[in-house]
Amino acid sequence: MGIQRDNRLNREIALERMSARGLSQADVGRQLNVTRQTVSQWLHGERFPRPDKLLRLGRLLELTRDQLVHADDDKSPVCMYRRKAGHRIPQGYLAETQHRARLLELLVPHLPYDCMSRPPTLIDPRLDHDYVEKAAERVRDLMGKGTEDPVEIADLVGHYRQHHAVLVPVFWGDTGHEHGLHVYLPSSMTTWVYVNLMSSFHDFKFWLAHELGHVKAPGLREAEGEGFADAFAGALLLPGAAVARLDNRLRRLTRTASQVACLHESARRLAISPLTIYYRLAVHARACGHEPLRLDQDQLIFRATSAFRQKDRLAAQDYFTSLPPGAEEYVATTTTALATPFFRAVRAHLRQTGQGTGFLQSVLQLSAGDAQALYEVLG
Amino acid sequence: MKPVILLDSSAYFRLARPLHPLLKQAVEPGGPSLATVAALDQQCRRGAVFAGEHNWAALPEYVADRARCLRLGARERREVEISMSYMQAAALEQALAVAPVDLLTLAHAWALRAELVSDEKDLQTLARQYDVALLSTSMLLVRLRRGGRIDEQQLRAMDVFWGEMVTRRFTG
Repeated sequence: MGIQRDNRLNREIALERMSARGLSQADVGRQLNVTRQTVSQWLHGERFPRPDKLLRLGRLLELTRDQLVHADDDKSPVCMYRRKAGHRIPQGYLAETQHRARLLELLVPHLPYDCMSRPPTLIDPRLDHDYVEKAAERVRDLMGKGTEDPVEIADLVGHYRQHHAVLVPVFWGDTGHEHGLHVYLPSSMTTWVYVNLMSSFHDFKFWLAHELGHVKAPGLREAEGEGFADAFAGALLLPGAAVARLDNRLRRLTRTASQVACLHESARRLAISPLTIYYRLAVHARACGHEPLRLDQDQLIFRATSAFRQKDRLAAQDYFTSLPPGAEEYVATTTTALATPFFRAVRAHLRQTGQGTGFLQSVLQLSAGDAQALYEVLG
Repeated sequence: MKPVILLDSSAYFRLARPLHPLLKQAVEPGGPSLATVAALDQQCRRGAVFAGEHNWAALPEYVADRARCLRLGARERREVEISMSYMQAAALEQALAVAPVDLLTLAHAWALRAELVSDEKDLQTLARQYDVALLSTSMLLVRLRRGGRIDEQQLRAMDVFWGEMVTRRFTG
């Protein structure tokens, strides 16, 4: 399945380069074995060169594809990345991710979802405190959670399916820029959430909650979308009523160290980061017009979070008997634990099309060797 | 630069263990040698995600085999960069499942006017669009046999090995 794009040459830059090199349309035609009229039609957007001619034109004018071609495509996948602060996205990663998203479209017919119906997203999502709190509370109700109940990973993954969202478990290591990836395909209204099993357990859980925010509000993009998803995740993992109670309790304590210890205890009980709770307390205080609690003197809250993280485990350690797992265990375990239809869809697609390991390498960002191992399980 | 025949990642994984050392030697007397791109070597060196028998590619003897396969001049590097941008866009538009490392291999093959060894359907489709000459791994084996690089016994051993792989794949 290809995609239709309204491609046309960037006439201005092409003419500029031709002029700089002293090339007429006839010269270009001669070098590319086409007529002058064909070159003229290319430049006027009446025709578009075949792949080999386009590349040869690019080489002749020393222009990359992005420089030479305008591409209009309003059905482009929406890709969002989660990466650690300070990590840059490597060159070429964005193009690879767009390609990955296009290949995910091939899996849509194999999903067990009713893709003729719209997923139940929020009607008018917005980054407004009361709205986000209500939206998260509604999801907690659907999960059957009381105010003080912790949200488990199983609760979160169970909620993805009804939104036509697919979890894609990956081993992307701890390299910062590969912390996670979210792809929304407008043509099928499906969402694909790459979850890095090599993340710490608490990051993994927060990421799942954060992504659920994106899934419920696919129309919110960029900073607004990220802000909404972060706020939604916080409210989902620690609802407003629980924050209010904790805030009261902490304000009754006189020493900052005791406050941090109390917060740390809540973090352990709810299995969320102390910093997540601290930020929730700040949001709550702002909403109520109070002065926020200051637990950052002497870096106390950050030190408590570091101590908490040191005892943290990798998400993958919860799923596999030993690391690294074999390819077969990877497929079987994550399919069950994350309730994901991903591998079933991949298997059906590979069997139907005869595509090879290139598909697995591209979609899962695997090495050739790993793709070969996985192909033997799925192919 | 001496002429080469480039192997895509799957072809490398099929051939490199049974025919070790594989690269940098002439396919036939006076003919081109087999090569892979540096990005494949970097990928193999990073090691495997999954436990299993496919982890051999990070072993020192295979790293040594892949070392310094291709040395490009500045003009060739620029051609690879330009052609890669076009091939990546074409793969995206046509939803062709070609791995990034194999797109790079195709871009090298185009820039160096080299033959490309691949059994991957989508990579073959893309290679044809850019007039890159193709070989399947079995065609390459025939050339290696005719060129005296491998003997009949090795050829038969590979045939049996692949037969088992195919059987295992399609019968579960």
